[in-house]
Amino acid sequence: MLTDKDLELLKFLTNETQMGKFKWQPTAIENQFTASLRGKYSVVMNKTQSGLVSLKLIDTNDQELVALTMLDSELVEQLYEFVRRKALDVDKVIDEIIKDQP
Amino acid sequence: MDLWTIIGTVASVAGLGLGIWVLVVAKDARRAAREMRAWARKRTLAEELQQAQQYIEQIGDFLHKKEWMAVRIRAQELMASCRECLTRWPDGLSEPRKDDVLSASRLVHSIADKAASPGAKDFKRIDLKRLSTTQLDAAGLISSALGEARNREERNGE
Repeated sequence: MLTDKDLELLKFLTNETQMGKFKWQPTAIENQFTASLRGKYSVVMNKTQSGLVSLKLIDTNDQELVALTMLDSELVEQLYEFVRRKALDVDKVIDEIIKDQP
Repeated sequence: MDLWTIIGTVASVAGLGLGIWVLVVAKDARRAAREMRAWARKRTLAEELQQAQQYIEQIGDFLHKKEWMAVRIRAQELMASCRECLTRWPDGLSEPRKDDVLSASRLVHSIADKAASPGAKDFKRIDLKRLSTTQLDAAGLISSALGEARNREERNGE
């Protein structure tokens, strides 16, 4: 169940990601990305083969603090798309392609 | 003196010698263990990160050899090492470098998860490439944290 605090977290992550404040990185698992916050927490975003997007907030002891899916809020899916673009440097790739056009 | 008395005397002398030797070896082993514990207590953050760096290099080596069990074991050791760095020296690194250590731990976690998957034997080239890239990313993150830890130690004259 999505709480107001969860929603605040989602909005915070979306804003900070858009501003490029988090270092999102692709993991060894396909369609999975991670970033760390405040030197204490990790966020892991995942998209399964069936297309279900999920977000987990984990502490240093591997304890799961928050677990949300796109079924809880559409912001989860939106955030995943921002994260994917940042982690894979999609905008940079597009710039590179456009630049090389005669 | 009959033969049995001679054999018995030699055996008891040999037994006494063996007992003394075992005592000496045990004392040495105990002293070594004590020194090891003391060294572990005195270990600095930079040394712990250095150990983590060795683990990630070994993971790279095991990935190359496709030794999945070894990858998982080293990954667990590395994750424990990262956790220790963050809990034992909470002020040892700046926030961005602590994030780096955490991210390295998460990346290695994903390597371990992938290595544990039932299809590990039949990984495609793309899977192996992703594993290798992730290992290199994690190595880079640990390296940057190690750099800062060493820098701080040098400044503090440790």
